[in-house]
Amino acid sequence: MNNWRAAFQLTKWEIKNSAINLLLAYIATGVVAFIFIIEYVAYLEDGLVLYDLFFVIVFGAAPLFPKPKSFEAQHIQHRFLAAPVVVLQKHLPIKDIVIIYSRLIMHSLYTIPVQLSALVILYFATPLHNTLSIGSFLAFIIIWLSFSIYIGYFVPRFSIGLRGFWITNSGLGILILILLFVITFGLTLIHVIFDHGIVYWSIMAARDYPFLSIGLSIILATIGYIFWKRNMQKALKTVMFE
Amino acid sequence: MDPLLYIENLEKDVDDFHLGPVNLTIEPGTITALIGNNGSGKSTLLKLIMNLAQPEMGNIKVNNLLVHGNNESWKKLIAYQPQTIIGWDPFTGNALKEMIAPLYPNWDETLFQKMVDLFNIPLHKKFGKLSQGVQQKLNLALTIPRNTPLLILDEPTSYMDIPSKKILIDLLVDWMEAGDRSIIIASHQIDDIRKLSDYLFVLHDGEVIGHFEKEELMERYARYWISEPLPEAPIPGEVSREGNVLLSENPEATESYLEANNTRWNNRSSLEMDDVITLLLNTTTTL
Repeated sequence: MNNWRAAFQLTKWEIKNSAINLLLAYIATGVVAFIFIIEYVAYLEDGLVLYDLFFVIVFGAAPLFPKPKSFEAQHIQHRFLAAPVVVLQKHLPIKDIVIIYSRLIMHSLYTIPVQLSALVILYFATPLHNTLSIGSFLAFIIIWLSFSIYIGYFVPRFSIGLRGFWITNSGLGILILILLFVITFGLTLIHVIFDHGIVYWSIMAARDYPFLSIGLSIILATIGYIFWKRNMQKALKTVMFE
Repeated sequence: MDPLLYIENLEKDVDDFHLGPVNLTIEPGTITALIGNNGSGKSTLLKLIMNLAQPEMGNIKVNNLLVHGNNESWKKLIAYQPQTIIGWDPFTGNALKEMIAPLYPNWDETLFQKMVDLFNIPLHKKFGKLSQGVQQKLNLALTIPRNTPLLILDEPTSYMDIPSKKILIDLLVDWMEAGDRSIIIASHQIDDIRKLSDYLFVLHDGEVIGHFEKEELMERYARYWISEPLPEAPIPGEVSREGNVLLSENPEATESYLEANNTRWNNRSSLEMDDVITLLLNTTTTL
């Protein structure tokens, strides 16, 4: 608990310098959420792959939206990517676990409020509220917020520090292209095989199997949290910070 | 008394550069200058001490605590001023002070304010907006008052004007008077080394040349102006010769030989610190 308290204390300075950027990130995510609302009916009828892709991006990589330069992961040296603020913290008597918690707190600030708001607005502004009861909607929220943990935590992981070819401009360019291709291909395949996309099936799972959906999502989120936390602890011990 | 810092068989590879093996002990109450050519591994060694990089081999202990172990309490025992400052740009001096000071139980607010006044540091400006020299001064004002047992300074005066360098040296001398503290200072500035250091730890292209007591090292070398032509054969202790000027790294042996051979010298002088360092880093250099 003391570590979490210390991490909150640590993020205080970052939040003070990030107010405008947090707002910008919320607006950027809000704009995408608006697309979810206006395209919702068309998505259910025609099965837009792009709709699924946007959902995956908003819940998996939303915090990649604008951040102050000193707080976002960036190239500090050739083949070394990290958030400068993490390098600052590594030079001070701050426990590694506190640095990790502070990254998770900042990540949550950039994600949870806006993701939750987007889902609530989607629920009330579209016919989704006719499909899902409040209980099922809660399951739907947990499905996507859990996704935001077990996939989305790659963002704070990036800020902790990475070295190697894959984080150079060329490496990242190749990686992003491959990822986009694989994800789009995967999402299209789901549409082709199962007639609908993952957002539709997540709605169905929340409606028909709310407890199972909640249980599975929480298990996945827990596994994701433990995995990313250990991965970040290892990185803080092994990555060369200079 | 246990050493403050204990380094044993430390080795590190960075691409095609190899550092070590390094063995070094820092006792309380001493100032050690870390000296070497560019790229000799000084900053890498300091980063290894700070656990900012993992060694291939070896151990580092601060107050008997393993730096690369799970217990991180040693971090409060070292104040580190890096050569390159990363991540400070968005913060003002005031914000940085409020962030850093509470992390150190012995933070000296009076010393901090004194340094801010002496160096005329504007604390309300963002770090990124300050000149390199002022950034360095602020960095030092936020490092020295941490009052940790071990202070590590990596090129602390490289961007400083001459009066500020003098102020810093005086401040460090005062700081050392307070008790069992130690400083490791990596520097190319000969004045810093001459005025501050008790010991010299010399690295050359990643290899340890030696760990020397400064005064002993300075007495080890002498330059002779010989009044007669020198014999062709090497003279005991001879490092180099130019005309009738002989440089020796063993004055006792050199003088015994010269006296035994009835060879007189007109003058004898000690070497300057920079000459000694140059000799250590490149023994083939003629002085």
